[in-house]
Amino acid sequence: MEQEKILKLITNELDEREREEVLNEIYNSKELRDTYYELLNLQALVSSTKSSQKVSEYELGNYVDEISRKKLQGILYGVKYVLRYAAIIILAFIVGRFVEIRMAGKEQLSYNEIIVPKGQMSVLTLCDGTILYLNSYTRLRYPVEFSKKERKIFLLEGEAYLKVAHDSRKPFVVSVKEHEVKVLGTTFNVSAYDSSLQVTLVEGKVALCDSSGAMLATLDPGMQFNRRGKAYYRIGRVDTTEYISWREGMYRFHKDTLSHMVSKLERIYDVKIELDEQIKNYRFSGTILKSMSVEQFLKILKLTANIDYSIKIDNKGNKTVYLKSIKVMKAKT
Amino acid sequence: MRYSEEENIISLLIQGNEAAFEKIYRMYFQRVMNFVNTYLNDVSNSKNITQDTFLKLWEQRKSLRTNTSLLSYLLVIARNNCLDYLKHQQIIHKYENSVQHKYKELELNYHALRRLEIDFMTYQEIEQIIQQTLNQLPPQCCEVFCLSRFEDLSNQEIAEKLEISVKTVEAHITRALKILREALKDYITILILLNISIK
Repeated sequence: MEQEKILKLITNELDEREREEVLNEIYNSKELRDTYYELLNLQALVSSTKSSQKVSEYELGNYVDEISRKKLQGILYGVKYVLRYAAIIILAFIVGRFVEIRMAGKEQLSYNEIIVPKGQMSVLTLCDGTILYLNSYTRLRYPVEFSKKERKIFLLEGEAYLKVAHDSRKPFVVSVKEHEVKVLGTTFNVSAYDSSLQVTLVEGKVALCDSSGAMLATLDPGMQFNRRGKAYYRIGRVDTTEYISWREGMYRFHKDTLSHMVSKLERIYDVKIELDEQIKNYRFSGTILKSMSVEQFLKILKLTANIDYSIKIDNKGNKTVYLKSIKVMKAKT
Repeated sequence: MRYSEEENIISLLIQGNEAAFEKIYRMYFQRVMNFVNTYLNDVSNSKNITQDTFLKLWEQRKSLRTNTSLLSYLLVIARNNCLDYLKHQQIIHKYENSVQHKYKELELNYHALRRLEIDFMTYQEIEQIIQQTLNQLPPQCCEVFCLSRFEDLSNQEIAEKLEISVKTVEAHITRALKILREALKDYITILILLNISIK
């Protein structure tokens, strides 16, 4: 008899009040929960076996409507698909600045420089077919045409995810913060904000060299080279999704301190964030969606972590966020 | 669709043929969406997730093999998308002091879906068993069940359409589900057992 109620719930036969009642019952009983899980999964599997023939037979009257609706849906879907990338590209602030650099002796290359402002992202395809995803606040210099010997680009600041087109005759080199990452054809992420440098390999193989060309290390997929400061670096295995999910507008944090998160948040939302000394070392894990507004994020922070916020906007429209801990009353002993 | 036909369309898809993609989209959109909406109970978001699912199929087309079952492949993607979505919604509902039972429903559906391991192979078997079982049901029982599950008619609507009482409709649905449940018993218990250690 309980099964009957659960079925009605699944098939939306109940009014709001009954729904609430049944949901509560299920929620509070392990036995009912198991039945509910089983029936819901059954319903899902069964409903996905609906054959298209049956639709047209049954919905014959609405068939024409259906087709034109689906067409529209298809078009909308296409538009959405294009927009998703177009938006990123349009929003990017491309500096078509040509920098002429004379190479020692023979070849002369002209360079483009691209700047992605805070709060934006960009996608770039180079002449050899290599695709670059550029994160907020990134400066990159790349030749309009590559030299004959190698394909070299300069990541001056910021973060890039690279899908390098394979060309065994011309190695691809990313020059970044007095290091060079050499590859043939592979997928990897380079992050070079402030004084830190991180190279995360997704696919293939890359070699890391210092500015003199001496090899420091080679990386296998899933490995990360991590340098903070001059003297010290470390290589370890990481969950690569954590480091590349920014391309999808997701920023993952794993036990990061608030002060470390803040520098990322400032770039994501293009705001200035001021932190109370007291809460600098609070640690957080989780995912921030770029589509979420900074206010939404702050609201969640407030509710989960006892951190209060205030926002000030100056006359130029710049936002500054102030974070401080909510005072918790302690009983005196 | 016949097997060789599906292999054919997948090999076209792998080559980046847009017409093949469109065909697959038309063929499976509703089915994937039905699956998604069972857990979300929210048509407009289910539509979005289903569209993302197909987008992912397109993006990942090069990793497909011609003997993959497209529907299972789509459902695996859809399942992951739904889990992410439900998890995210739970957080939102938890902290926005929204209706309590909505939050409970999200949580329950999330756990239900987590228990459902869709395996590329077993799904094909499950699909076959469902089809066979439905074919073996008494005609009216099958019709009621199909109207209810596939066409999303309410029990009241089915009763009016077939000129039978609502009680009879309910009885038919319960009966069909019991038979299906029995037929799929091995699969569902295996599916649940697999997940006990995780939860």
